[in-house]
Amino acid sequence: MASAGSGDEKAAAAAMITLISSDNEKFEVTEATATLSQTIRHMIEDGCTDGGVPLPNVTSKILARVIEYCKKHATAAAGEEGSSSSFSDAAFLEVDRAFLEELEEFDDAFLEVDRATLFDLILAANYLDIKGLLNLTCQKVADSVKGKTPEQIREMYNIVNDLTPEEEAEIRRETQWAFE
Amino acid sequence: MGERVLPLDLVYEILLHLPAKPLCRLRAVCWPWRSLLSGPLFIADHAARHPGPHLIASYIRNTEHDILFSIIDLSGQIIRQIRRKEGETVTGMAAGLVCIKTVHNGSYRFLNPSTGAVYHLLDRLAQEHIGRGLKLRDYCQPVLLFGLAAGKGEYKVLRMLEHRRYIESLFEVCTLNRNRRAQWRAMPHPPEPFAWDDCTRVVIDGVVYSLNLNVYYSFAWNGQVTMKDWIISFDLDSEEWRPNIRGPSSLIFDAAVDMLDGHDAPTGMIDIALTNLNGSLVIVHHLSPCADMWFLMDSEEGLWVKQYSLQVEPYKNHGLLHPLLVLDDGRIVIYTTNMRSLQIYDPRSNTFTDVVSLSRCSAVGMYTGKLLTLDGHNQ
Repeated sequence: MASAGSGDEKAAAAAMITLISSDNEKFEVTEATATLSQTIRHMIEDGCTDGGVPLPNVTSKILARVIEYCKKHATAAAGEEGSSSSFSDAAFLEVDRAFLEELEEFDDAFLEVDRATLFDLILAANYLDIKGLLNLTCQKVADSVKGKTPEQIREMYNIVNDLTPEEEAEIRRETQWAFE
Repeated sequence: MGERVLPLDLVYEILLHLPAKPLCRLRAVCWPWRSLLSGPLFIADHAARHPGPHLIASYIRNTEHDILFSIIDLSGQIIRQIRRKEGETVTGMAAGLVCIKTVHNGSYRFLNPSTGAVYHLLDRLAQEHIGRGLKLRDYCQPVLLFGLAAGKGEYKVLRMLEHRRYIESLFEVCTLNRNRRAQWRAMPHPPEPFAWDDCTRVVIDGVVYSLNLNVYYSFAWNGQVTMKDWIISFDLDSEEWRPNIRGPSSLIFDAAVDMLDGHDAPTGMIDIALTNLNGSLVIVHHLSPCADMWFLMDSEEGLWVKQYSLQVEPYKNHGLLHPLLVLDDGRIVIYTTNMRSLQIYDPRSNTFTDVVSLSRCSAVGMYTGKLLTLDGHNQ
């Protein structure tokens, strides 16, 4: 099923979906790529994708990145289905491993963005309901937060500290082990 | 481009990806985060997202190292730790509860690390036993076996007391209650008199199992197997003794001969332990250079299957092996008492891999509770 270029050109052409960003840019993607988004999958199932899918919450800049992610991971999903139906000998496992490594490298490179873009990607992944992308981007933010003190977090995210000094001292005392 | 502000449900999603330790620290960021991170909904979602497995380790008393117990993951990374207060020691860990003894007054209490709930025990005998003129001080330190009773989901404790001078035991049960000290209720004796030691008991799904050491003593006296019912069991829910469970007969012969020969009996103790492995009752039998693991398949028939026979390297003194968990891939997480280390045993290659050294550790068990506390209070 991954080999869209072989035989059935018509089916492949019919399975193209047009996505329209908030700034009115149009993106043509395969159905396999688009349906990584549960939101779009439901639209397709309901048959309301004729004339394109407007995505008023996603800019073209972000949509382009999201599509880049989906393309890569749609191939991965297809590859997985392919290998599970065939017998899994050592050669296949080797290919799988190489592919997974490549995917991991792709994800790492994909996340090399500034914080504003990362947040936009999270918002888009949430709106489009793309679980893998939401997990990936949230984990990235979580990793950047992991080693930080409460002061550093407030500074990073412009959070106003509305705790009184007494309350803060109380919380620190309760969870002293977490500060060591 | 202005600073993006994520809606709270996405902040929630991001925070769910964090381990327990930074989350407890981040409670001090602001009020909304504090209430979010201490709320029962977040704690439940976090537990579902981080299903473990997690281990709990208790530590011996030491002036430099005043940690009472810690919760760790399989890589040995500390997820939570609780400091020791003066004179405290952990005497048992099961079903997500930790039993803590305060040495100077001899009192016991139970702590649920995931809710912060503390349960106190009444420091006296059951009314029926007091009525018979019995006194708590005439009995040795109690053995407390506890778990979640199947029926109403209450925590219950079976207390076994051995008389200091006579061959006489008492059995009592109480239901733990957060609001008042639990009252002890007298229980009848088990169908056969029995003797116990430290390693030979375990609680699984609210049922107490204890090896009856009299089986060995009778063998040592008579030179033959006269008792077949090895394991006594008590149901915490119905508060009744259940029928005894027959042990693997080949095992008693090996173990007893070994004991009589005094091969590996520097302590004179029997190298047999009962343990809970993925919900199964397992006998771990150390017969140098092997450690055999027998799984109970049918308690009525007394059917046991030796599923693993671990080759222990003779030059490495592992001490008693305490298997904790069989992983999905068949490898076994084991705590070795002498080396005080967590190891993973691979049955296919028959090799041990060190995971982490737990110096000053006194015991390790599986931790089934949640990682975050409800109210932030530890004790």
